Amino acid sequence: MNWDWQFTFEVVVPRLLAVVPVTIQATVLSFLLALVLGLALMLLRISPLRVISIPAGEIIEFIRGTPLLVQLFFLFFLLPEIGIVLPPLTTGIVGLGIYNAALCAEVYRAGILNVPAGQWEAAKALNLSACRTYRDIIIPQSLPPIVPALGNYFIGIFKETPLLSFLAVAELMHASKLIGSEYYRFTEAVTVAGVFFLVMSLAAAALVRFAEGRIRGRILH
Amino acid sequence: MIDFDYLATLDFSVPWKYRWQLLSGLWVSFCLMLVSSAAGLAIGIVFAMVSRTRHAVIRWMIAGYVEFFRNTPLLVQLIWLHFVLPLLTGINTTPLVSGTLALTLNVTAYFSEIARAGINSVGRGQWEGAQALGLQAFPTWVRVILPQALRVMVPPLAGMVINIFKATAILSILAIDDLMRVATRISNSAFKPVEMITAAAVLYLILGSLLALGADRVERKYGPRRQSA
Repeated sequence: MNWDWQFTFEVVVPRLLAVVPVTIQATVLSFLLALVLGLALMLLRISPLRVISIPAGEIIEFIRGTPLLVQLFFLFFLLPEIGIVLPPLTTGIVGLGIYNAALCAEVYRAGILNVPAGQWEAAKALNLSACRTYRDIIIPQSLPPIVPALGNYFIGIFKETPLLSFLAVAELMHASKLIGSEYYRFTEAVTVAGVFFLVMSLAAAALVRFAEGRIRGRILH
Repeated sequence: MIDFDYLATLDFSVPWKYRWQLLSGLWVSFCLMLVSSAAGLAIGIVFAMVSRTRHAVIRWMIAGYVEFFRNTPLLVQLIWLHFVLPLLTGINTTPLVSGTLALTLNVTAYFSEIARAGINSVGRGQWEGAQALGLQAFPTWVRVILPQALRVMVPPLAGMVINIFKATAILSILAIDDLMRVATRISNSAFKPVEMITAAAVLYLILGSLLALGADRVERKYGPRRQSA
């Protein structure tokens, strides 16, 4: 089997470059959804009412305990049946977002529980409102362990996007499989897709480290 | 509007009818998890030990391996190994072989990082003590360093094993009859995708929870000793 450079540069690279925005879009939107939904799940989870906190904990465990692929298929088949017809990319973003929201909720919770009880008591003694307690006391102190973990989930989501190819979302992996079956040349298509993932993942890791440094600098000063 | 009536029409007699197939798929998933975890852990520990060498080339090679497998998606590695490697080398692998191989290569990278952190957590005094007692390299590792490192490694290892179990679902694309593939195959012929996928999710959850429970017990027995307050 010989490697065809001409085919690589004339067909594979341009067609894969064309779908890179889809992968990036899926990653960023899923991450944002996970951040917001995770916060909501965490707030339900730490609710003093056990009627709310126990089901919330069960839901988080259920999402964390089943494979992402299973959840994507589940959404893909269930949503149209109950009358919600979404484009595949949206279904994929929702699936990735929900799965990672459960992971984010646990990260948030760990961060908040990490704040010593004395801080809560002091805020209460100073008669701070719930809003100010969270905004000025609890959240700034819980961020340092949360931020790096969220950064890892961002990269994790990026590496989970090829699973969306099963929902026929036109992202990198899907495009490379398509090229492979059109030209009967999988070697170049899959290898270049792998290189794309590697480069973008390393870039994302550098970005996350940069953002971490910036956020840490802002918290400390 | 959401059509909740559909939920009332769900027919869970279908997954029940195919329960033995689903359970055999679960067994295949479990075996894949077991093989990849065992092989990945063993190779990962060896990689972590070897990467303490003074030879920069070997260190760089292992670091490159770890970074490569941690920074590309498992699905890409799987397809690359299954479709491209046979074309490049001429060795044809069955789906089961390439699936297990890809999963093992992938998790080895993670295990090697866990092992590295565990080994690094052993204090310098332990190394110096072993040297002062005149221990050779082998007994230093096996009797002094690794027993202490393994204790620290138990919690991340437990999480990793459960992740591997969930990751086996991806292997279903290579026509390995694991739980996910059995469920999708039956749903294609019985036209009951929601019921079959739900049943698969429940089975994954049950075995995953049992694994987590087991991991918790192992952690309590062999995990890092907590300072008593």
